[in-house]
Amino acid sequence: MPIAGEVAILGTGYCKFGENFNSDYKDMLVDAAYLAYADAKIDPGQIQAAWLGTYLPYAWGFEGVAGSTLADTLALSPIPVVRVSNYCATGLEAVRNAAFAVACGEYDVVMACGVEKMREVPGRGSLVAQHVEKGHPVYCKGRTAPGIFALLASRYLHVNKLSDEILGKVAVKNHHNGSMNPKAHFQREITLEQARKAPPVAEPLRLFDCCPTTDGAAVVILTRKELAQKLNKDYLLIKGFGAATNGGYFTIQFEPDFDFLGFRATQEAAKSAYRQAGISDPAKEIHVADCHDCFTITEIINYEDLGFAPRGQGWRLIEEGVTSLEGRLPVNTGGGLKCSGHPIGASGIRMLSEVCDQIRGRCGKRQVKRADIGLAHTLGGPGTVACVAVVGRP
Amino acid sequence: MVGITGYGVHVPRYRLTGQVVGAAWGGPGGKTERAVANHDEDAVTMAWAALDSCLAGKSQNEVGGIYLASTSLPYLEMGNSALVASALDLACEIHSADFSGSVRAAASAFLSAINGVKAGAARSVLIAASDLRQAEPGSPAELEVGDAAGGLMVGSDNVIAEIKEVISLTREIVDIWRREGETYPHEEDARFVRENAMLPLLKEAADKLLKKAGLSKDKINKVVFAAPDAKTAQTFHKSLGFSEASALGGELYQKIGNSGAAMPVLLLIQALETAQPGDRIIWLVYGGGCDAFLLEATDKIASAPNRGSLGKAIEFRRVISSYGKYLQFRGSLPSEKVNPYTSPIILNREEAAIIRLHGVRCQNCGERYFPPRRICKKCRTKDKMDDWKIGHRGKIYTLTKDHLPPTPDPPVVMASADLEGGGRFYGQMADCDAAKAEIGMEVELTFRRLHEGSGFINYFWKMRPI
Repeated sequence: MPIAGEVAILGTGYCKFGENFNSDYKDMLVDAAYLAYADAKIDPGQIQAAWLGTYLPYAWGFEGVAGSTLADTLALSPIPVVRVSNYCATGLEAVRNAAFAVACGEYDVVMACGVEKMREVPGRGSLVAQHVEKGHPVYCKGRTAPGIFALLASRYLHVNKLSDEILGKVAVKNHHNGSMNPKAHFQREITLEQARKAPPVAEPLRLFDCCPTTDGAAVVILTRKELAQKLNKDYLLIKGFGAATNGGYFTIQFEPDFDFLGFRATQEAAKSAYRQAGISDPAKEIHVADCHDCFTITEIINYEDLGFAPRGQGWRLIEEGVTSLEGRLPVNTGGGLKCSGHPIGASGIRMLSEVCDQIRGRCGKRQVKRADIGLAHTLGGPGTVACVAVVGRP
Repeated sequence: MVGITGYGVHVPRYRLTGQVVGAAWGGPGGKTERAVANHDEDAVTMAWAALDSCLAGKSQNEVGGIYLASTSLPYLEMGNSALVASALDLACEIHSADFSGSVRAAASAFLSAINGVKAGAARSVLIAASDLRQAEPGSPAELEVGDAAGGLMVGSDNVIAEIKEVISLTREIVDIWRREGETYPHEEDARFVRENAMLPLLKEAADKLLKKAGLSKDKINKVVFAAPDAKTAQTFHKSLGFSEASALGGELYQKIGNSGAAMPVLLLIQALETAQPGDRIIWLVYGGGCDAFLLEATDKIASAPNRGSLGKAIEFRRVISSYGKYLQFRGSLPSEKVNPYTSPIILNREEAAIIRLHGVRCQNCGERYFPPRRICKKCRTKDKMDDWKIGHRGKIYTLTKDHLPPTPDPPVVMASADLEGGGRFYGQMADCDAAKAEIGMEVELTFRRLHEGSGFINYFWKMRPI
């Protein structure tokens, strides 16, 4: 059996995202898992297998090297658990693998968890240090996460003759959404002036163009469609799930045919997910989306890669308010990575959770009007891996 | 005929001015300025730059040897010249050696090169004289010394200045010294050194050279020697008794500073730049003795490929904004310690790509790749790749000024550039005014220090605005 139309989401949950100095990796996992159990209306004993998404154990925290961390922490042994790692697409990749296991009939109820404990070290010791001190000895030295996406921002603004104001507008939108999400890392609004006057990070990206370094955990519980109805009537279905790769971690910026205006991994993952879901015009058929806004420019480029806007027109969705909460296609309704924060392994599942909450009408002040079909998208590495999940009512 | 067949210079882009030093230490500072190596430059990278310029338009295949002269070699043990040879993409079947010990090192290298070519051991030999001169912060020497490199090619085809006569003197004298572990050289009493050591030896060498050549002083058109500063050079010239017209101008002292082992070569290049066919040049190189050379410019001198490059290198300048930044460049201030992952095993395995800049081209479909790969992404042909040398010039396709990575000179400008002849390069920019860096800017690849992970120097290529 394929995943699409057959695998059901029983429930989701995620802990408070932020600088969780008083919670460790395992605390966050426990908090997220028990929220998900309750949401799915199941008992922990019903979980038959699990997937643990943690991008870089031992880099900034000390847990999550293998699946046994999950099994032991949640007292689920001896169920099988494996760790999944796929750059920033780690969380959705864990879900995709868990979904396969359900679809093939091996298990009835499984869970996918994403956990990343990044703030055991100073922010600078986290992802920046990874780039400075790890990786190929000479290729790409001087590259940082914002630096990767700033190369696209420079090119995008240059080609489309735009000023950096458009980037600031993405930040303003996501801060507005984040201000209504009690679990977001940042819960306050900012002004466009604040965004434009913030210190530069990797030009043209400034402080408010960048997601923060965050701790968090998120969990989703899956089952087969036929079982879902018995377990939890308020279940959703995975309508399509695509994943794709493109380019090497240390080579993509050397590739002469990379135009620095879009990510082929996202385009291919979306194409696959849309085909499975029977979507031909995503701009009209997707009602709500959480896309990978690690940096403001990424959100604009995602619009184009996901087919929400034609090439070179993604910025117009921001300019015209299309992707605001009141717009035709609200994006990053919980504040996105920008404000929810980006604990790498947890992000994809937090995004899926937000989309499910919108479809199930539980988002309170940030609830959008129409949300029957939603999309979650994660992009990893220097744009070299991507996952796109389309979910909706049965 | 054996002689100089080409030359090249590298003067670092940055200048430390009397004004900046004066502001830091409260003194007048004066009007002079000196060249300061960027934080990612050293004697090896500057030598590469001078020889890369020297080799322009020539074939690497004719080079049979490479000699590197310096008192500031980055490695006390390890073949510095071999590293420069690799960055120049020279063949393996050549002779290489490091010359050090005193500021006479370049003359020793030059003499060895001449003898090698004369003996038929090599068609051409490259010599780089390169020095990063350290001076104690706050000392007068801080504005007198300078960082630079000069390159010479010695051979027997297309000679621009023929070697007519050579003599060598060796004399032990404790004048200027630096012991292992010391950063700054000591100098014995200046008057003693200049009047009792330098000048008498220069005189003796010049006289003996002229006697051997059977020439009188009035037959010499240019007298070239390095002195501690421009004023002393003038005084020495008078004392040596040559014509006033045979003296060189003092601009190298005033605009670059005394560049140690590189200084005699830069001064010789200064003389070659204005020499006319038939001009006789005496080149005296002091240090633990004195080597003296009589050269005669040939009719090819006026069309020497790099004629005018010294003046251009002096003019391509950017004043270092503060004394603090200068100290950062020299590593004199405590800074954020980083230890990037690296391994000589990896660097050795990837030497052709990382140091020689060789990519690959698919034999089946012609697609080019840098860094190299085994399976063609276009046609999936496996292990059928030809060697492809990437172009060293290009145009910025996109860039960012990144304020996050630790560096003595923030921000780090990271760029992806389309290269002449195809392919793309991605990495840091060097000698770059970040405010002026933009899409479309023309750049060239330059060999620089990247980091010191694992305690050794990891060199790589950066993009420098042309």
